[in-house]
Amino acid sequence: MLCALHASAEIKATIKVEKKILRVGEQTRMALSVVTYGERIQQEPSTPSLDGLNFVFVNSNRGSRFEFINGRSKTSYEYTFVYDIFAIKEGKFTVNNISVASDSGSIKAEPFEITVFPGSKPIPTRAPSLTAPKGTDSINIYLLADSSKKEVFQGEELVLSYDAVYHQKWRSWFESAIQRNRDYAIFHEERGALKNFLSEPVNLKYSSRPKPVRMAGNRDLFFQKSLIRYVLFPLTPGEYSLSPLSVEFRVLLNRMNTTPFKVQPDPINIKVKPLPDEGKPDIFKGAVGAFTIKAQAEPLELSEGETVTLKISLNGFGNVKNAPKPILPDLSNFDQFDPTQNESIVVDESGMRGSIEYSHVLIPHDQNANQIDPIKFAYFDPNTKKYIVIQTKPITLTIHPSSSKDVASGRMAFNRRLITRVGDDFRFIATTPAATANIVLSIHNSLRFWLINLLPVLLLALAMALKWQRNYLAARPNIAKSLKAPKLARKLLTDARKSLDKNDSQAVYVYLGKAITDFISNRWSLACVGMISLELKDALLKKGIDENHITSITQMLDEFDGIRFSGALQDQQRINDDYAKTEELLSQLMKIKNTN
Amino acid sequence: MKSLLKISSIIAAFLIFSTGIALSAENPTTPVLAPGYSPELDRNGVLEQANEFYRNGDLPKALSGYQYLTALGIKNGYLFYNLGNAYFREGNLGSAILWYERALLYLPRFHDLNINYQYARTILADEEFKAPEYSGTLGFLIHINQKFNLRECLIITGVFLWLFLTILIIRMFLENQSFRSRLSIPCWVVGFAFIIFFSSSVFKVYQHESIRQAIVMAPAVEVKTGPGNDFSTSFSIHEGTKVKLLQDQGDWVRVLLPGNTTFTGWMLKSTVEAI
Repeated sequence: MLCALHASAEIKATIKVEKKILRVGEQTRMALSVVTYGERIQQEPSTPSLDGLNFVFVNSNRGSRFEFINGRSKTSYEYTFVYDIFAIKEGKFTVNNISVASDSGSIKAEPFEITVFPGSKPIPTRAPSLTAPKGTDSINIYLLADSSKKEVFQGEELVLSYDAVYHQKWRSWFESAIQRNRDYAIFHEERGALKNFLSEPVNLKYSSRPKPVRMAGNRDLFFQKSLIRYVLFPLTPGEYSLSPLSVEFRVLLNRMNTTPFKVQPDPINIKVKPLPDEGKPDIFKGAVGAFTIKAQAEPLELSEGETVTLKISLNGFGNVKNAPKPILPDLSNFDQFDPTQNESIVVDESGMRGSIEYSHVLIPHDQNANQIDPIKFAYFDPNTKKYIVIQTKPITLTIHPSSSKDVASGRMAFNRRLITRVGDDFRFIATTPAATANIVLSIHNSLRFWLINLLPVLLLALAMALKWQRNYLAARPNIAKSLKAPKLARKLLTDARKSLDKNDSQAVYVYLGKAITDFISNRWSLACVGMISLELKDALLKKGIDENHITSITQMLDEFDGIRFSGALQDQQRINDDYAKTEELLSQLMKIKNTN
Repeated sequence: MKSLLKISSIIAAFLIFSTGIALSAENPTTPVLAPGYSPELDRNGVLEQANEFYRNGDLPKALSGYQYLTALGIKNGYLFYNLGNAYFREGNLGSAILWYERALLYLPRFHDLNINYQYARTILADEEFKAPEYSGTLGFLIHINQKFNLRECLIITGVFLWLFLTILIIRMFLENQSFRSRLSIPCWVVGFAFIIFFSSSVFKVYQHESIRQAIVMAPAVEVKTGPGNDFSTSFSIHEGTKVKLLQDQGDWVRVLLPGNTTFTGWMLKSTVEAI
């Protein structure tokens, strides 16, 4: 398909061509679309008269469109002119003078190119008189299998065709099923049946029209409908019996029910011959068919360090999709980017055709890189049974000296190649001395592993217990104070001992008295500071402390207060005795269980 | 009298048992080095010498050195890899695959090992069934599982356990609400990592302890429908193919092809070697 466009301010012409590559005797359809804004087309476009292509007008139509843009209305008209182009002679034809006359003058469409190859034997349309296959029943639906050739060369294109042939009584059912895209036939393809071929199936279930045919020995009218084509390219020589397909028709026997009706066509016998060795060129890489090659470079005039794009276009019939790349000349005077590839390939019921365009971006090293030698391509033509080498014309470039001083460094940056492996990827041994260390994988069998991993769990349990205790005591301050009472009392006793060591008797008695009163306050939640002896006695009795201890407490507190307030100096022995008595008293009090 | 008999039988059983242990201790399979190795070489010396033989293309001597080291009880992925390479270059595909598989248990991320293992697998006679491919969370877990060996998995699990519980304990006792909330994300991340590695470790321990795999060492083996030559052949497999061992019975072992549960049968024990 080709899209050519010419645009002016008020008129646009677009050309679409279905196939650009034809054989002699084939035809293609061209649609010329002209869009105008207000102007009218006076007459049909003029078509070129080329010796080799014949343009036949098919039909034309006109449509209009009303647009309202930025508050202004605009009416556009689209004229479409359809032509069939018939290939009469082989060759390359540039169609460049299709012009359209409008009110303001004429406009030319962009040129396009059509390549016509020599004609080959057409794919046989079925014989006008068919014989019903053996064993078919009265339903009168047959599957006709055929091949475009019975004997082909390795790599040569071959088309297997599978057509349905049905009695006229099924015509309306078939046509309605096709129109409504209903699955009137299910293809059962056998896996591996075409393993020695590259295959491209072309499904024609809903696309081709039925043709009337006659059956031998039957006066009724029959119709033939193409179902599927297999475009095949044999990979290896040999004799093959191909039966890749069976079809299950779903015919409507009565108003309600469709009945599956499976048809297995006879196998098709194909002989694949090897390609001849005689005359095989060195550059031949397996292309079979008919090809042309064209190369062009742009720009042809450039400076050192600038790029030139070399476009190589390979057109042809046959296995274009897998065609080998054309052989490039020596381009060592150029740096190259990785080439890109653009395919335009059509696979239809007549086979495969199309073009591949390879784009190479080249940077000439210097002024000596002023020529691109011919690009070659070799293929085997099965029609003439000969190898053919085609080549492009040499391309001359004009290279001007560069004004830039960094051409060389620029060239280095562009000089990149894809690194490819040329041998097996098998790695060398490990030479590390650690290879003799014994590694134990199953460390979970050791006790140390479990101890190490259980330790944090135990720590967590401990932390949780501690946290719970902290929260519990924070909610119950009396219990917390009660639990802390012995510790505080011991701390005060320690302070008293320090004062004793410093011979500070006053401080000793302060600490001893405070140790007793603080212990009582904390242990039994009793604010005993400021109480007289009788009050303290009553309070302690209420807390369930026995009288001997209460007497000792009151006596000692009175005695200590007396010493403190009298200011009399006490001898060391007396202080030591008092300290011991206080310590003894507190240890006895600590043993009393707190019942509150 | 009866008690005397009982005591004497216990003593006799003890003597027989201890004699057996003593005999087995006296006859260990002493590894022997091929001529060309100096007898004074220590382990590292033997390894260096074997590597040198490999470098010079003297594969039988290199193999002897590596085998000597493995016979000493050294279990090391690099040593197994070298042994696999030596077997492969000598053309013993079954043994090469076996030692590569053993090395993979220790060094699952060792790139050279994976390259050579894949290369060796490409020339196996049997195309092994493809293991199902998983994506999403399960695929990620399997990826993690395959990238670490059992030891690494267990150690990483332990480290994450310590980290997770430490952060948890610190967070528990932090009074400052801001600091506590800052520790939440690390706590979740480490906890998630711990769960992943813990589940991976559990699976690896299960694989290590419960799943027995082996490599076919014979050039071609017919897998029978029962434990005996009289049974019909179910399918045949070739050297280097990995099988899962299911059940032992006499000289026969029941195997299953990994990746396809329908291919199971019995083959002689002598034709496979456990990984």
